[in-house]
Amino acid sequence: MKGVSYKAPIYLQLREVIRNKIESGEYKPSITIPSEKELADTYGINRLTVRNAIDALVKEGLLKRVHGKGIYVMNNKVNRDLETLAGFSQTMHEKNKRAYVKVRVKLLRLAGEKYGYIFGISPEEKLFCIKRTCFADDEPVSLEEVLIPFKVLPELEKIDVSVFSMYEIYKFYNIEITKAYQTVDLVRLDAKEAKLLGVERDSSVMLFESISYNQDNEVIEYSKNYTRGDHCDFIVHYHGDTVRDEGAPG
Amino acid sequence: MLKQFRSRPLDEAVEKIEHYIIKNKLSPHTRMPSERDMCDMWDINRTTLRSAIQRLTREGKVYSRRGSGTFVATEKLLCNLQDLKTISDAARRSNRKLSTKVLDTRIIECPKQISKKLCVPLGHKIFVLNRLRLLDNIPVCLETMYLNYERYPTLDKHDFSVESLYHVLGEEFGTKIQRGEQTLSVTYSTEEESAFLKVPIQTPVFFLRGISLDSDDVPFEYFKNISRSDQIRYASVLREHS
Repeated sequence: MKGVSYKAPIYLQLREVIRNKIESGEYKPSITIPSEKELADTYGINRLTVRNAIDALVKEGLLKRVHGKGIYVMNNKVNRDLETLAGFSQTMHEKNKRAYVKVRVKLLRLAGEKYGYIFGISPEEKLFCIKRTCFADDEPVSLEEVLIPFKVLPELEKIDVSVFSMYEIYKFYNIEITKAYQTVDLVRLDAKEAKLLGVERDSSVMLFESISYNQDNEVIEYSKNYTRGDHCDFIVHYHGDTVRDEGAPG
Repeated sequence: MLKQFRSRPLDEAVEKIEHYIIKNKLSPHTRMPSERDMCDMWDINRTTLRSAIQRLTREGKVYSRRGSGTFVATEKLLCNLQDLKTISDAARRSNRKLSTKVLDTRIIECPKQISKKLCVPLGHKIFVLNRLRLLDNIPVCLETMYLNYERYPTLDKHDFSVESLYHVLGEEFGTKIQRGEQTLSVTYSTEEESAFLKVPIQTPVFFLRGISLDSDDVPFEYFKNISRSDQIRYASVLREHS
């Protein structure tokens, strides 16, 4: 558990101590924390135990080991708000990260049965399929796949999707997205995707799937977003009077 | 002009399988047709089909048993993050049996990090509740809650394996959740967490933590949840800011 009981294994207790020092600002971003040896001496524990605690935090993206230099506090997670309808770069700008996207694929395809069903259109209709890699401060943060029926926005063919976010584009063309259902899973990536995201093969990432609707309740966009968990935390606000029995996508 | 493409055979195979499950409303643990039958049905080759099954396995949609085929994976419990008591409501809604095991309750001296979250001074009495949630007898979530014991001095007299904490807070103390904020991220299960959740050590799991505030905007609860991503899926409804 994430508790701080004195009965908990030592490496867990130490992990929480370090995590708390990062959260409280005692250990500051991009500054090194005490060395493993110093930590071992301070708390009177084995170095291997210290290493275990630190390894866990490195994996979570809170610390980074730099060979020959030390252990740095990252704390550079980008908070993304799960409730705001904002495109990737918009969210990033708000958090003072330099964000840009690279378009890997942009093509037209047949909807096929699965997407015909999701969009409520014939499997023979065409869809735009856009695959992009999103970067923050030159590091890949997420892989995005967006599907939009051709008839929703035929102009998309000529729009440079590396410059504008989908939400900006929708705004320009008066497509109003009024709500979106989003789900979050943890999935493992295959070798190719892992490489694109700059993580190890079989790493787990968060998969966000969302279905966006316009005011007439038509599905406008289906998107999948594979996001590195070591770079993002997701914040959700909830209220006593909100969205209780809205249900979610089936 | 944009070129038109047929999708990659692999993507196409993945979509066919996903759609097959949805269209036929296959329930969890149903066996899929044999590889040979799927290949014939959709006119795809064996290698592509296998890659598609691998991909769907990684995404937790199907699983394979050596020698006996491919099966539809367990349906994950969908928990809306904007709901207040996500898991019990979600279980009820999807007709699944939620049971609760109290692992530990104790009263501690408020440490610094909890003091900040709950806005109470250091050394204040804090009631800690550790529970394991099981869904149809499968352990899915480890919950730790921290509450101000001086505000709720009878909490240690209740049995929270059968009583709802929020119900007790509401009935006995008039505390109602007004709003809250929670943060979701990925972590890797520790030895202890793994033992409770019955997963291998270092399994990627959801880590959800946050605070709940009452009608006076006073934080009354801080919680940390570790949950299995093969059993739980989180959801949220996004709306345009008015």
